[in-house]
Amino acid sequence: MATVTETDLPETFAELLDRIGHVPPERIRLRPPLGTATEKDVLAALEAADKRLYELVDGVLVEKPMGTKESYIAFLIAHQIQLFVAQHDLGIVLPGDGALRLRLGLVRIPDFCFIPWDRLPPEGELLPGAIASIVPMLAGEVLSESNTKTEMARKLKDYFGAGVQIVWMIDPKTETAMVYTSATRGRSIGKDGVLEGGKVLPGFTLPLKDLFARTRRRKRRSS
Amino acid sequence: MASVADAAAPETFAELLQRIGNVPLERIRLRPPPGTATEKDVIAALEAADKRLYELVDGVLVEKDMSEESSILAGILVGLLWNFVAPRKLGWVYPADGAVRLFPGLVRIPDVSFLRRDRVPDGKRPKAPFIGLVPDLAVEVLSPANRAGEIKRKLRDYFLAGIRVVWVINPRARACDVYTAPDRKKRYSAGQPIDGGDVLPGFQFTLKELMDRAE
Repeated sequence: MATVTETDLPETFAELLDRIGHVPPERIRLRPPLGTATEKDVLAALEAADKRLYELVDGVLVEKPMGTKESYIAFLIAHQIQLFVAQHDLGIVLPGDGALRLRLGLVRIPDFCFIPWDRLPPEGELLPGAIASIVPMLAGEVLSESNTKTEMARKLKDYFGAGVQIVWMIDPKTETAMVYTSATRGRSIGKDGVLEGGKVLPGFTLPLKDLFARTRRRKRRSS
Repeated sequence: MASVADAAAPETFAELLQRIGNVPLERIRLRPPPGTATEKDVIAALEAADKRLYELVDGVLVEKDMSEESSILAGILVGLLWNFVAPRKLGWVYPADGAVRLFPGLVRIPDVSFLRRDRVPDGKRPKAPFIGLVPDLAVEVLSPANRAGEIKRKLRDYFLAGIRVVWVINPRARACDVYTAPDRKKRYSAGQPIDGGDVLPGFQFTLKELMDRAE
């Protein structure tokens, strides 16, 4: 097992970066050594006193950057989806520290995601195991400063490769979003645009203006 | 043992890069994984069919950068040194595949190095995969892919291990820096003669001489 992952490792660090996307070096963990990390390490980091989010890609732990504002935006979206999903009894919503095994050795942590009932166990525990082997229908990422284009391209490939149907990438800097329906097909949603549930969540709408308005102080309504 | 190394190991790749001196990423080998490489891996690469020069720094294999220019200049300098050293039986001159174990787990490959015979216990050349003793003189000929941080770290390693003089030749700047400590250097322009000092008394060359011969 160990030797298999070792030979999977590219020859140089430059090649590794090409493969996992050009993640800043400070987000690439070296303990355990590159290429030898497993799900156990993802869990140990999640459960540590200084809880950290690491995704597992090709045996490498890649830290997931999460600023306070990004975290809040992810929560707001997850909350809106949850209201809709609960009302129509469609499935469950996970917030931004739900690690998912997309395939063996590939653990991603979407900032939010929606999993319909038919992708969950028919009875008993919905999310068995510490890292559930469940592929969401919709996954969302709120971009941080240190996310790079190639990193997100790799992530899209992973999501769609595993069976995700729609991916939202929210850019808090420009207050816009990209809606992907495949790793290479994306549609941009402008500041005045609306996130729509499409085939996955028909009827769900979230205007970006409303979303970002909630990240700024509003005048209190007088009662 | 492993846990001791782990404790000292950097946590992220950024820390590792800083420690080894911002070496270009394509020169950092990932097999075996950084932090776990040993002297055996250096020897295996040296003896492989597609012989490669890797230095071993903090458990990381770093490929030694060689450009055509640095290679030819180093070769000429090896020749000049041998012409001086051989008739006087002063010691041994190694070209750029003479790996030196500076400390256990720290292997460097100077472009040129010289080991004095009188430092070797019975005056016989030690035979081992690595140069048997830390040399007296090390020479680095810079190539465009070398980084300042990398050379700085290398100088620190050399002097900590007991190398007495390091010549850093910069062909682009047409200058050679003679270091007698990591932070003590004297710069020589191409035409200024550089002498062997205490390590090779009587030896002298100029960078211009090397460069002219390379034409």
